[in-house]
Amino acid sequence: MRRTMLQSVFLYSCVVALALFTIAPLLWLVTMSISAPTDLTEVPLRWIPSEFDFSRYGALLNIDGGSGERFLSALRNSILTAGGATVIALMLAIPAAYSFSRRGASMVLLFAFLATIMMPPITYILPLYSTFSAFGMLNKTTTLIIVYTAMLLPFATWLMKANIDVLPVEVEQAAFMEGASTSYTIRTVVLPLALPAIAATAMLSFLVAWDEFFYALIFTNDLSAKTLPVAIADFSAGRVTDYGVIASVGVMATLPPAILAICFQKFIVSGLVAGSVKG
Amino acid sequence: MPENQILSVESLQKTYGDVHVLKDINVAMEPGEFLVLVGPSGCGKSTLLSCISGLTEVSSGTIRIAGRDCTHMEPANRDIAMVFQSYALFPNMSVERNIGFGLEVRKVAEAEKKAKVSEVADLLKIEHLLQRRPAELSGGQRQRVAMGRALVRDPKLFLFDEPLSNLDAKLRVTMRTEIKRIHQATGASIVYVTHDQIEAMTLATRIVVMKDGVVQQIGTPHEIYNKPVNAFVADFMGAPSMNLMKGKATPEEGHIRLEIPTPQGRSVSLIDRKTPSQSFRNGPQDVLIGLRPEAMTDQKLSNGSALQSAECLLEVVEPAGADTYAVIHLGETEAIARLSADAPVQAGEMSSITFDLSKVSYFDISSGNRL
Repeated sequence: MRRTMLQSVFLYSCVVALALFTIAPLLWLVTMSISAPTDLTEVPLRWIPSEFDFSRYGALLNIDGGSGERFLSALRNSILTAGGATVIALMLAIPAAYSFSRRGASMVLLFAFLATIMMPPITYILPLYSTFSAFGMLNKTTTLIIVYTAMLLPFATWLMKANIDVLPVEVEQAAFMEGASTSYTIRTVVLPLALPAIAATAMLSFLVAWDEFFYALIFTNDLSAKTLPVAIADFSAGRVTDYGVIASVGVMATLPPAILAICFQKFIVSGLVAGSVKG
Repeated sequence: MPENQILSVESLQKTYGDVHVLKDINVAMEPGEFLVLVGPSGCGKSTLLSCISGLTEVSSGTIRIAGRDCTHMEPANRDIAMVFQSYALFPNMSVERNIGFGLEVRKVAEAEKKAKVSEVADLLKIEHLLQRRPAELSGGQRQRVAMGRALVRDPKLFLFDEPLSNLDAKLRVTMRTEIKRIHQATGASIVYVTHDQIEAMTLATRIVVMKDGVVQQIGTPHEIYNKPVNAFVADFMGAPSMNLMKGKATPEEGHIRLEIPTPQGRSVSLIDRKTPSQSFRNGPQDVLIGLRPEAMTDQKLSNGSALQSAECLLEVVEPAGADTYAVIHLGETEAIARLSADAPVQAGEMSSITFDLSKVSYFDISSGNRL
């Protein structure tokens, strides 16, 4: 169907508006991170920086400097906690999702799981804090991994279940018929077919854990366990706030999830099931 | 139960809640038989196959495979192989690995596995496809791979679940012949589900006709075709199906006189020269007279033959190449006569139709059972 001129104009203005809406804040963040400090305090605001100043990035990547050390250790902690929690949550979620999808595990249980993420984190903070405190586990990356795994698990299970539901069940039946055990079938048949779903679940889980602020704020208190969201907040907590530094940390913090998304993109393509059933 | 039966299903029941899907099924088969389960959709034939395979839990009854009680056994332990309607190939594996999957699971040595896979590939003429993925195959090729996966393990029993229904008409005929060829070559015991009565007739050594979860008749294709036990089987098997005409049967000395009414007010009068059976001892009665289309022809009468003819009005004439079908209103139904291809007939004309009563069937008008 051909579009009229008017329709095209309308369509493309919508596209431009949407693009601006989503990209503008990010662009401004990048601009801030490379503007001179004086540019950021000027009134009216200077949209195009008078000079490009990359020194903040240099400082952040220098492990010996004050802000560099804070940033890099937070980056390490974030990757460990978000990555660790994602991996553990997926390893538990996949068999759980398979039981819910194919083996008639009680849906009540699944909804009970989901109900736990409906509650605001504030309700869990107190019991969790006193428990971890009693075990001497505060301010540890392991602690955050445990909390994040619990937080991601219901969501990851739900997402994986929905994706396993739509896989052709005959393919698994065929594997059973050929004498394969359940675990062998999951490994050789279900997982390869569910790869796009696993990639998507992993990415979403990683993002949730990466962005988590509240638990991290309460359970950590120094460089050994603080994650990026908390570290970013720390940068703005001083008496003199350098917006440029915060912006640079913000830009750097978006890089790992962005790289992850690009890596996973090739897995998140449809059509992996093609050729299995029907013609 | 005789020990040599490859499959025996005894008093099998399957219910889903209030729905009674299989009602007291009893089926047995000998090694090397090709048993076809046939019936309209919803008759329970696929559920029965699923119960035999172990993918569906039975409600009650017993299933024995090669003498072993398999009723509650996992599918993997039943020593069976199944070809699915949707083929159910593993899309992430090559054809070679698909076929060898069962051997891989059983940890068969690599060399032996390769030899067996290539032997089966040779039988199915798919050697050149071994390195491809299922997505790169046509429907017929996928079908062959699915059969290869079943054949390679040499199981006790093969189950086929409507394997040809996703293929186009021409390929279906080719693959049908292929399946028959493989059965003859391997002597495998096969249970085959289809809704296509022609597939059932051509492939089976014995047919199980089902309807509403009840076995209607078990018999050779010849028995099912010529001596259907009830009007349902008569109507379901054969294309075009058997003409079931209402008429009056009067037992007389040494023969049965038949009167079949026509819409023109006359009736066609025929003589069945068989001694009336016990069912006719109560005198004249209304019955369903079952005659296959090929028993109503334009054949010329020869002296002394069992044939007899009657003038009938041809309502519609349908040339079909090898034959010409003519629709005749007889006995409150549209009966179909099978005339020769070049029969000089026209719709709306009276024509002499020759009836062959040597294979006539009679059914009770209310119960539909064979008399």
